[in-house]
Amino acid sequence: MPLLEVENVTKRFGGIVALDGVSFAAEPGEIVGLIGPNGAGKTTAFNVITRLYTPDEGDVRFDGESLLGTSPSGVIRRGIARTFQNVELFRGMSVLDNVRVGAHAHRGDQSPEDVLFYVNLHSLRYRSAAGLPYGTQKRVELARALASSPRLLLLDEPAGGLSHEEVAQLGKFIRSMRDDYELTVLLVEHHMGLVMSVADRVHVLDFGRKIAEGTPAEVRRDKSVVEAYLGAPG
Amino acid sequence: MSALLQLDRVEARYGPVQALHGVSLDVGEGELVAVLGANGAGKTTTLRAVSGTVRRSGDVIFAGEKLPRRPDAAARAGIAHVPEGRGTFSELSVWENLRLGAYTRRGALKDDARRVFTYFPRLEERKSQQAGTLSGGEQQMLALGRAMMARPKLVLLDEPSLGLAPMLVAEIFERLDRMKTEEGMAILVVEQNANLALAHAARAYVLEVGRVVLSGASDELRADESVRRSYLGY
Repeated sequence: MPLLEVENVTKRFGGIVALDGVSFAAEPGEIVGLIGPNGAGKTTAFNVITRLYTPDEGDVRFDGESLLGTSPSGVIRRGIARTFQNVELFRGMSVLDNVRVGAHAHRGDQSPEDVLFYVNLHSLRYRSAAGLPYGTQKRVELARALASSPRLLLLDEPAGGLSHEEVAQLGKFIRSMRDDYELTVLLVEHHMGLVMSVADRVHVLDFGRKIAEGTPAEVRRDKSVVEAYLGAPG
Repeated sequence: MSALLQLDRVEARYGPVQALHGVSLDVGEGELVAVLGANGAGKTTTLRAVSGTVRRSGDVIFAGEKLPRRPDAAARAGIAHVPEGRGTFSELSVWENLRLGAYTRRGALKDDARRVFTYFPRLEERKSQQAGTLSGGEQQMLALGRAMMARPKLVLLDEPSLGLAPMLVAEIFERLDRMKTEEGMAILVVEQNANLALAHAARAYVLEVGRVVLSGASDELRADESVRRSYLGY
């Protein structure tokens, strides 16, 4: 049974249909990529899953049960954690305190200190989050998410601000994290090298609709994906 | 070409943490120059040192004069800073954001706005829309448009590709070429997509832990073994 099932979800904002009958699923232990042009509805999908938005139609099920009756804070307690596209840390707080917030939201068996060692941020734990480089802030968000002992982790553009070499390291890191923490991962990312190297399956959105799905290799060859998103190879 | 901007052994710190250890670089009039480096190398801080938004020591010479370390002085001298994450005012409309771009100067805005709209027609379509509701790509266009409204001599641009789909990233860089050739603006751009940055920039600087470790013409850097391994990936 899939751990996450998004079924026929439609979300409208006024006259704009941000998601138009979108369905996809993630099996336990899978890394699933969600790609598409800006404004395609990827972050909206994250916001529906984490219940910041209520869909107009459709259902979202986690571990077989609907999430629609669950509050955003309840979602964390169900075992879903996320990072944000533009980094949403508590800027005035230390790295450690930010990660403690994750553990506080859902106390599992992860200690904030252990998580900080795992993501290699322990030496920065007393630094203020606001002053850190962008890529490092993204890692603090990841640590905060891990500290809430999730089963499903939603990553919104984790490669932002990283150089080529760092993105390659991040890819390896996501895979080992999936194994070490027994996670299922949903990944929104524009860095195609990263998506293609870590994702088991990829779903492609365009104007709120799913236009393709498959293995990374299949999706890369798909004509509609090349036209809507990737552009001419180069 | 006489240098429009010149940094002479500039140092900068965040509290106890020194981020720049004597960075020297220059940008000629109407020149597009890229800054490459890993997360935490000091790229963002270098831009902040120019616009006076971080504590700095060492000289910043702009248009032949020593630039006071005050953001308003930098803005009035003709420097527009497009920060990481774009820094658009999400509660304000697209039009209000553009008007704010022209805050430092007198005179009618209509012609400048018309000019901006030839670069980014989407902004005209969305003129009265709240900036926070724009897609990531549109927000980047708005941030660039707002910078153009100031009629700057120099644009400091931090990670314009952040969060943008591959096709849009290419489009943004084409616009930068146009801003350079048609408006005569000099551009200092920090960019994680080194392939693209080097394809458009005449020269580049590579930063490592707060120091310039390499600089030169884009072609030379592209041929450099360490640059290829760390930033280009081939």
